[in-house]
Amino acid sequence: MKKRTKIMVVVISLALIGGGIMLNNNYKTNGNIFDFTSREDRQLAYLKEHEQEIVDFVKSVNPKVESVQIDWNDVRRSDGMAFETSEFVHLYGEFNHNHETSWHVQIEIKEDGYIDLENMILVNGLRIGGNYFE
Amino acid sequence: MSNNLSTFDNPYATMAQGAYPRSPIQFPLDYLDPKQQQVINNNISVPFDFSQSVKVGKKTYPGGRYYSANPSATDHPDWPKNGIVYLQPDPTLKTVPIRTSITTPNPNGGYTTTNPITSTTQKGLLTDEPSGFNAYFLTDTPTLNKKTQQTYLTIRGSDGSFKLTNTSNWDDWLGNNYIFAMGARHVPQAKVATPAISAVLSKIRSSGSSAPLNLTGHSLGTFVTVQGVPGLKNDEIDQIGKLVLFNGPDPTASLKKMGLSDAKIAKLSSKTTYYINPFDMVSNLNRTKPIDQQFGKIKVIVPLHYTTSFENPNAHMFGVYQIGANGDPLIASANFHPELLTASQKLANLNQKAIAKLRALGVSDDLIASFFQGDIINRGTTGYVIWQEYITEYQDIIAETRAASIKWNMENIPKHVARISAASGVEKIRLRSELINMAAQLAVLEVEDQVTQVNKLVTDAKEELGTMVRNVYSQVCSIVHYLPRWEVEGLLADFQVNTLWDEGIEATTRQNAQKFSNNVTELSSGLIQATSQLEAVDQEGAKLFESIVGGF
Repeated sequence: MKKRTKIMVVVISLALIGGGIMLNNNYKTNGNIFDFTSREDRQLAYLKEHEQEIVDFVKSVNPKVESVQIDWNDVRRSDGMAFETSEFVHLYGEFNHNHETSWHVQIEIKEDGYIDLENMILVNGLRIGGNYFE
Repeated sequence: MSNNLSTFDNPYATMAQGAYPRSPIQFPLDYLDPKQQQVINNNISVPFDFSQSVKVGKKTYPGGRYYSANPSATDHPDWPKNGIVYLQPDPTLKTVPIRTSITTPNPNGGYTTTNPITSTTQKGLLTDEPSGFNAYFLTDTPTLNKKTQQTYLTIRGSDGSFKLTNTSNWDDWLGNNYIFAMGARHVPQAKVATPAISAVLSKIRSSGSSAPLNLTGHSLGTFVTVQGVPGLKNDEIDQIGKLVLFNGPDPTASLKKMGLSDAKIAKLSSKTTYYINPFDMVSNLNRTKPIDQQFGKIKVIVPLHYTTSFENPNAHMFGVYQIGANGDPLIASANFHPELLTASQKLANLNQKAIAKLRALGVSDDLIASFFQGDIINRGTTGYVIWQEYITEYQDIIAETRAASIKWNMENIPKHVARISAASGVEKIRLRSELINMAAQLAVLEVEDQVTQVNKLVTDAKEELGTMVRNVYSQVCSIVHYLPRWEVEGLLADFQVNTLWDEGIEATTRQNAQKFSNNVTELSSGLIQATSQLEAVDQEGAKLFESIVGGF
């Protein structure tokens, strides 16, 4: 094989691999084709950018909630029901700096990558020691 | 709340929905918050109060109202008092290592086999990750004891859509749904469900409680429940209270295939109620027989939206359920939206026709054999055509029924008004409630039509503009001969669709139309929920009247 042909093969292979990685990453979430971070990481980064909205949402549930702490190390994901194409991100944390308190917010991620912050849901109510916080 | 229940007035619907880790009230242990997990890991139950309101975005949805104030709750002795249930811990739940056998050749001949841990899986009384089985045991008291009056087991259906690229839910779709739909087989999750239900019943007995165990489930969870019960001993089956199931297919053929006698099928059938959506493809599987000859008592719901199982709002999910005045889902009958009963029958026939065509193509409950039976390209093409025909007929059924429902509402609203003035007591309340539903549904369907019309007008206008721009271009190019092409294009540079058409206004128009539709839907849901107050208001009025009359 000639040297030029070999270079072409290497370049085309690299282009295909790169293209594959980009497609795999589904760069829709932030629109940057040169971003090689995973889709999940970009979604998490987006949620962190909107931390204040999540804090305000939890606060809006009960006037006794003065401050909200998000545990960014505990982020879980789930599928929907049968035929549902959305995914769900579950965020957890405490409020009023009280380690006995807890909350759980669920955010829907549509099939096209849209993160629906407008309709986030407080799951299972605000809690203290596992019981409802009144 | 889109695909979620908009009220928690019906505890069975709330519990069936709550088995999924995507609902406002949810039980899956993996998704409880860390404090709740800590509590349950210490073998203490976690309370769930269905009367608590739910916050979604900027809106607050009121909690269930059928537990303390509403007298209708007395008609449901199997419902939890005050809407509170307790999720019981499963101390048997463990993470089990999965070992894979690896055989390697020895340098000196022979082979060595090792069994290293390659992954882990969750197993317990009510969880079996390999088969996809998940169930949650709930009681009306914090601990299971003599005072416990009601107990519930909610069994989860399939997780997410089937995707070739995502193997995590193949167990649900290929391991259970597929073999049930194509072969009416006893599914693996039901085989796991039988010992699980048996163990729960044993727990109830040993606690000294005489509470029945009521079972609920949705979709795959319905046939896992129904197939899971027959394997129990007779005295255990007697311990089962009700089976209240949502959006599931008829299981009769599978029960016969399992070897159940007609008497045993009839016994189970008498305990079972199905709520089915007339437009859900799963609900209407195996339902070609008349409703009264099917397994269980079949109640066809009046859905809030007329959509398929592939759209949003989704016909297979709970968001389209409307909860009526007595806390039960609003249902169709020969006297109330009979066109929905017809639609259910039509979809059942369509399902059967599609399955017969697939079988003729060589598709069976043996997935491997179905897939690798020769001429895959030709069979794949035919399969695609069958699918396209199915979807077209499916959408036609919905469109026809939609038109029939609008007509039925328009014809029956004046008749209902006349009936209300002649009725009294409970009948009057029921008719009023139905009238409100008819008006609300008519509003939703008409506004949906208007939104479709607005979107069509916008699309047509944009297309007309595009055509006009193209025509002007070609006319100008054909007329102007004394200017070079680039000059002509320069002159027409701003005469483009994207400069003449404001995409922002288009998006706002479409959004506003949709918002209007959503607002009308919300208003209609609110009206339907308000019907729940009719009975209470009427009783209050009666008390007031009695006290006034008693004073004289």
